[in-house]
Parts: sequence; C-alpha cells; structure tokens
Amino acid sequence: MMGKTMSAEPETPSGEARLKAYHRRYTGIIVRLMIAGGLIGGVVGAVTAAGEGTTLAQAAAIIGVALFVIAAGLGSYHYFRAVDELELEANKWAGLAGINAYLLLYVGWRFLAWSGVTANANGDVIFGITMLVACAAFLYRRFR
Amino acid sequence: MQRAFAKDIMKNRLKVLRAERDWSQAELAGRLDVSRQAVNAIETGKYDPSLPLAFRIGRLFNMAIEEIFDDGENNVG
Repeated sequence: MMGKTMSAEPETPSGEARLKAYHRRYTGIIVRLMIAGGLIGGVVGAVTAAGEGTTLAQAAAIIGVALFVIAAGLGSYHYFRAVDELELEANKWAGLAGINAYLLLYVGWRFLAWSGVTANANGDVIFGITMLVACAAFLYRRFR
Repeated sequence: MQRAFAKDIMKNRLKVLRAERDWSQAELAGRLDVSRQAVNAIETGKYDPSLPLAFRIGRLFNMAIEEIFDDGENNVG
C-alpha cells in the first residue's frame, strides 16, 4: 500500500490573486475605519450634547444627520460600484468643475467682501452654485 | 507631455463592426456590460474607452485593439 505522499508546498498565489487580496484588505480597513469613526463621532457627539442640555428635537436632528451621512455614504459606494466607466468619468468631471467653481466663487467673493465691494460671502449661495455647476458638468459629459 | 484637455480622440470601427453583426447599440452595450450611452459616445468619438473596456471590445469582435481603434499614428512611415 502506498503511503501518503508529502503534500506539495502550498501554491504561491498569482500576482493577480495577491492584488485582489490586497484590495480586499484595503477596502476592509477603510470600511472598518469609517464605521469606527462614525461610532466614535456618534458617542462623542451624544456625550457632548447630553452635557449641554440638548433638547429632544436637537437630538433627533443629530441622529437624522448621522443617518443621512451613513445612507449617503453607502449609497455612493453602491452607485460607484454599479455604474459604467462613462458615468464614472462624467462624475469625475463634475467633481473637477464643482471644486473649481467653489474655489473661484469663494475666493472671489471673499476678496470682494474684504474690499468692501459686496456683503460677506453667503455659504448657501456658493453651495447652490457649486452644485449647479457640478450637475451641469455631469449632464454635459454624460449625455452630450 | 500629453495634455489632459487635448482633443485627440481616437477613430474607431465600432459602428461598422456593430452594423456587420446587425446589433443595436443597446445590444452591444449589454454584451460589453456598459450603458448604451457609453457605446454611443465611443462610436461618435466623444469618449475613448478605458484599456480594460478596449480589451473587452477586442475580445468580443475577436480582433486586436489596433484593428478597431486608430490613434492616427499607425500609418505614419
């Protein structure tokens, strides 16, 4: 009867397999850090709020915003995993256009306000215009 | 250095190859796992596909990438 042969040395994973494993580990670390950050932020926020006599409505607002941030983060993650490269590229262009619009608007408005030409920069207006520019850039790149 | 804003989009034979097989843009998009708009953007020269997508296109039509896409450099000589 033949005895059991010594098992061969474990196969060295291919470069592709190692890269996939590396990406899995990297994604896992990022996700765990995000969850940990959210939990720590939630606890710190709750403790701080409790010490300052926060009302029920304020606590609900804090929880609502936290849920919104988590939902938006998860939604973005799934969205960017599902879309094709044309849409991804359109999103990159939208981000680039948006950040440039924000930079120009904020710096320009702040400088004019500092010079006394205009009133102080309005964050809501800058946010709205930035979103409009980003959406326009996205729609142009996606459907041109 | 290659400029990011350069308008040197490659020419390609995707529309011809698709027509030879009597595929719609949507059908080709389904085979390539991209949106119909992506196929349209590539065909009309508004978008250059990524290298992985170019390889998928080549495999689908059983052709080399340079037989489908032309960057205008191949015939110089």
